[in-house]
Amino acid sequence: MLLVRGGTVDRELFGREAVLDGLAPRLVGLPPRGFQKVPFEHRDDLPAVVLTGGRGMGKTALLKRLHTAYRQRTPIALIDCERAEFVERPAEHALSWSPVTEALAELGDQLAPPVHGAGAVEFPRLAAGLLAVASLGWQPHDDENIVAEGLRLGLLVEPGSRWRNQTRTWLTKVVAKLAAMASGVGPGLDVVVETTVESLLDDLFNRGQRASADWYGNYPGAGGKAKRGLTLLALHFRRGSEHRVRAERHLVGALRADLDAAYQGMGRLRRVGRPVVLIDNAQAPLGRRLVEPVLRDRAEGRRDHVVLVAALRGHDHPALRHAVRRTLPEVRHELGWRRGREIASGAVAVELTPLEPEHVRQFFDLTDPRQLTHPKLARAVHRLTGGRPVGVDLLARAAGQDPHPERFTPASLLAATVTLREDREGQEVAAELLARLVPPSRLDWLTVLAPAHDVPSAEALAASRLPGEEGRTGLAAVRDVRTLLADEHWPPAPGHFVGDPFLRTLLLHRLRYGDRDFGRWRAVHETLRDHYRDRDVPRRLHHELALGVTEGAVTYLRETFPLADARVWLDELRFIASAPHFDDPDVRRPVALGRADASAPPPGSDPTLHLRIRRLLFAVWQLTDPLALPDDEVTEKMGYELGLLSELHSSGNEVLWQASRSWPQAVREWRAPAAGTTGTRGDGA
Amino acid sequence: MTDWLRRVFWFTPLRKGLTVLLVLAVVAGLSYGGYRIANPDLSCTEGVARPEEGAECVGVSGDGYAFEVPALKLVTAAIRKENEELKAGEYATVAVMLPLTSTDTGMRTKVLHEVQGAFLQQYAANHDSNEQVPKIRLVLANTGKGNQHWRTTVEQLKRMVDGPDKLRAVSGIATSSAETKDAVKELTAAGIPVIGTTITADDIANGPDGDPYPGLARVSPTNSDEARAIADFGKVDAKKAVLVQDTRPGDHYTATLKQAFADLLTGAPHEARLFTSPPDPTDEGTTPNTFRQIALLLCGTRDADTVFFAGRHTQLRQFVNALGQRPCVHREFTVLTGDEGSYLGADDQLDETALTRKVSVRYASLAHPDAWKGPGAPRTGGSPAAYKTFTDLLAKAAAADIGPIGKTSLTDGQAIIAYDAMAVAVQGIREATLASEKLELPDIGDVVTQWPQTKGPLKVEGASGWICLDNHGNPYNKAVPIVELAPDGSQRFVEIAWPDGDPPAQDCMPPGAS
Repeated sequence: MLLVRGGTVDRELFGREAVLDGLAPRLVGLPPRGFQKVPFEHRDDLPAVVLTGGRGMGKTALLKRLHTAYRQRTPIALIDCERAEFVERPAEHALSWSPVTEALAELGDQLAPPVHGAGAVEFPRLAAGLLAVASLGWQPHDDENIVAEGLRLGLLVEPGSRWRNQTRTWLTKVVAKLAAMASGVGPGLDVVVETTVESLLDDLFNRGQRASADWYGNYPGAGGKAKRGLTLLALHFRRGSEHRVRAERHLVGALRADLDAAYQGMGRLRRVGRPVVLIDNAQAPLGRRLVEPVLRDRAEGRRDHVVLVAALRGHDHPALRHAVRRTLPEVRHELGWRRGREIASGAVAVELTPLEPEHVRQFFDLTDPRQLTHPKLARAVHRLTGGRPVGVDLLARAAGQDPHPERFTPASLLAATVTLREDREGQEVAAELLARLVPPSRLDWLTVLAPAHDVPSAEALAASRLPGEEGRTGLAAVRDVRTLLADEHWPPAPGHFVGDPFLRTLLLHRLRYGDRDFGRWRAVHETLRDHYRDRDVPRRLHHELALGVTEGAVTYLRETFPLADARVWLDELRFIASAPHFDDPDVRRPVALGRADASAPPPGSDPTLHLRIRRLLFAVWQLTDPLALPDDEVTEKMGYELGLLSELHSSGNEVLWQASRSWPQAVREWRAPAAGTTGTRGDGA
Repeated sequence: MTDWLRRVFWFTPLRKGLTVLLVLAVVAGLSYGGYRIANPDLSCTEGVARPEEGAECVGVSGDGYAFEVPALKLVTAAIRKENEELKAGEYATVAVMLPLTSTDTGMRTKVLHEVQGAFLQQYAANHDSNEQVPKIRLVLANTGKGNQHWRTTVEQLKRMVDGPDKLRAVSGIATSSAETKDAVKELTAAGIPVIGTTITADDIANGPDGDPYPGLARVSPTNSDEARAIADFGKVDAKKAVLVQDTRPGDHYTATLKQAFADLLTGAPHEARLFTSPPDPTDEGTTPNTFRQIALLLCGTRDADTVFFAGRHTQLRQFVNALGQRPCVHREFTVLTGDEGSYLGADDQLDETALTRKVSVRYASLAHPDAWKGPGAPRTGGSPAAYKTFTDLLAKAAAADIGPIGKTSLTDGQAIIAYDAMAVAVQGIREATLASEKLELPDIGDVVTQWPQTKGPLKVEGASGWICLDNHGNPYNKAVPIVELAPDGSQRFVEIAWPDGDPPAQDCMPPGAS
């Protein structure tokens, strides 16, 4: 998604140079472009690199970018552990199949093709192991399957039509042998495996390949005999549980041993750099089953020179507790990694950091070459997305694809359509983003719960708005959603049920526009307003504001102004003004500037103060809204009003005067105004 | 671009290695090429090289190398075949030194015939001589056009005396010129026996006044002997004879001929007529004018009918042409000259009608095929039997077991002379060889001492006549066939003349040598 845009922007890295120009070349030994050599940072013992980050942080894009950069120069493979092919299959297949064997076959397939200067990589060890395992599922008279599977795995040994013919001949022989055994009582599995392995080594493999297969002599219990080792491995695989783990670990080892062998002998002269294995979505069970054997083997001293880069959703996977941690900018020049005593210390977790405003500007420069968008839009998009690459990418693309990008504010940009592929229709950006950030099954619940401030309010919402869906209670939905947010490593924030401001804004956008007459929006906010009716006035007013009712808030603020502590008052002002705003047209600016008369001040009050506080409330509402473009005039006005108010307050003169200076400054610097007692409430960018 | 270069030539260690090898190979190739350009390969074949780039191949070879002369290909191949049959240690080498690469047509023909003659003698010596030892290996030594590079070749020949070649004699030496003289001097000074074939100049000879060329033997009569024979043949009345002579210095042939004629005509009334040929006597030059004047002068004499012509063949031809155009066509003239007259027959520019206008050209030939043929041949001084041995061999040489040796012609006598010269060399070498169980090649000095013995019973019965050498290596009273140039260019044998007036006695002992 990020960067891969028709191949025209290969050179644009957008903040990921630290990996592409720094870390990866030092590990692989080759630069991302060209045919020079890069000195290795680590000679013999390599760390496994784990890129961490939440959804949409650009992990997949970075892996794809690495794949594109090193393709054809060094053997490289990229697999996604969440792909449907790697999902665990029903029990009848599980005897001779596991996601790991599938993934290994796929990896071997991708790593095999010739690269510049060197021929194809051959995987006799891996093929032998996979064939032995596959033979567990071979039934006599099941010729077609045997031949198909055998051919596929056999090509790992040596790609080419000559080998294909040899393999076919050999498989015919195996099939005949199995058929011969099938007469009378069916053969035991061990016999089938043993026969296959023996025939494989004796009939199909040449001398060199047999020597490679001797690697299985090291299998525990093999006693140096490759045939015994292979048979044991297959039988262990069948037994399951830790036996299968051990067998799979050896199969992963076989892949790495084959790759290392390709760099020995003539390979030493013909190959430059190191082979690369890229594993996306390593948080899936398969990811762990692929990475862990590597870490264990390397910790035990069975080293290899495969550059392993995995992408892991989240930051604190339990397996990575002892991993060396780095952030993205740190790995630019040096990894500084050293193996510790723990197995996991063989991994370096590199946290992908959000994009900088400058990167966002580069995106917009790229998608909007005519420079028509509002000059503050790029920065506003950065504030909205928090620098999350997927948001920046899609929003920038949507802006670039529109014929009149000058009209966009962040709010209207969310509703714009973006066309991702020419053969597909355009999608609303917000919807597309939600599709990528949230599993579709939880999207509706999350949408409803997005305005909640904490678990009780969420439960209240769920109780009234999500009653008994799919036979669950609303409480179960809240629990479910909380688990999801925690699992996917969305950061929590006080005062918000959905902590991440970008995700929350997207969900609110969906809540608002999910139905034509905003019924759901209204219902949800009314529920919350009622929920807080007596308990928490600012929260009630917050939701009133969301519903478009402003007078209550103005009145409350005016009434509390003379009495309340200035800091508390400012906090309440900011909190109330952080209410989501989707009304069209947006009257906040004219009201803030005193150009539109919303309504007359209620009788019996100080009309000047009432109007002043109303203007201030609307100004703060507009300026802190991540979906609005901040306005210089409104910013000035906010400072001005605060300054005037400071003179009217009995005890909070100093606080209000400070706020009159610091708040406009903060807005100009794209920060959240923060001068209250509690600091930010997690709603700023 | 640099990326492409890096990928192709420098990406992997293997490619780096191959690139280094490639670069080294290119550098080596370029340096070798440069070296070759700076030091061109002048070698033609083993033992033969060009003195400078583009020059002819000069040196000694007996391995079938034809010195880039197509006409010599067959005969050199035959020589190679003969040489290859010889085993090391059982042969002595005889070199035939000639300007093999001469571009002149006449000289080319002469060279071919000489080589053919020499080969025939080699073959005869190795096969038809009752297994006499040692065997004879024949090598060709090229001195280049005009003998320009004689020094190189002579140096090489000198080195061949020792070592595996066992050079024991040098034959050939076909022209009388300053280079030839120097070459013979150098060779003989090094103690190498030299047998001249067609040198006739008196000053490339030893004589009673001294032996400047120790070890030189000749099979052709000296110019003076020729002149004497011609004079004897012509029974010249000195009063009716006119001498026409070349005054160009440095030509030993014309000088000796002139001297001999002048001696004959001492006290004759007619003044000698002079002309000067160009530095290269094969150039046409301005001499035709001179000859036209001389022809007029001859017409102006009252009774002259014989012209002694001391000059080379180009001038002779011009003179004969001028004589053909003489005003006094009613008067008969006989032109007598040395062996250069033999070239006239092959000369396209000869005005053959002159020969029908009462002009006859008679000259001393070195050998003629008809000399020892008829029953009228003298009983001594040569024998039809010896000649027949030669012609039989020649006939056999056309077949594959000996030859082929190329197109042959005996008319110019060169083949006969070369055959005879080679016979002298072979006899010298074999006479110097000690008769013992184990073959020991003779010392080269011992070969030289054989020349004075070549007389009497040890005379060589050559195809051109007997060869009896006097103490100075010159043939004594050698048969001189007088031939007349026929209008069709052929040489008609007239009769054998003798320098002493009569054939030698049966014992063939030079006077005073007894």
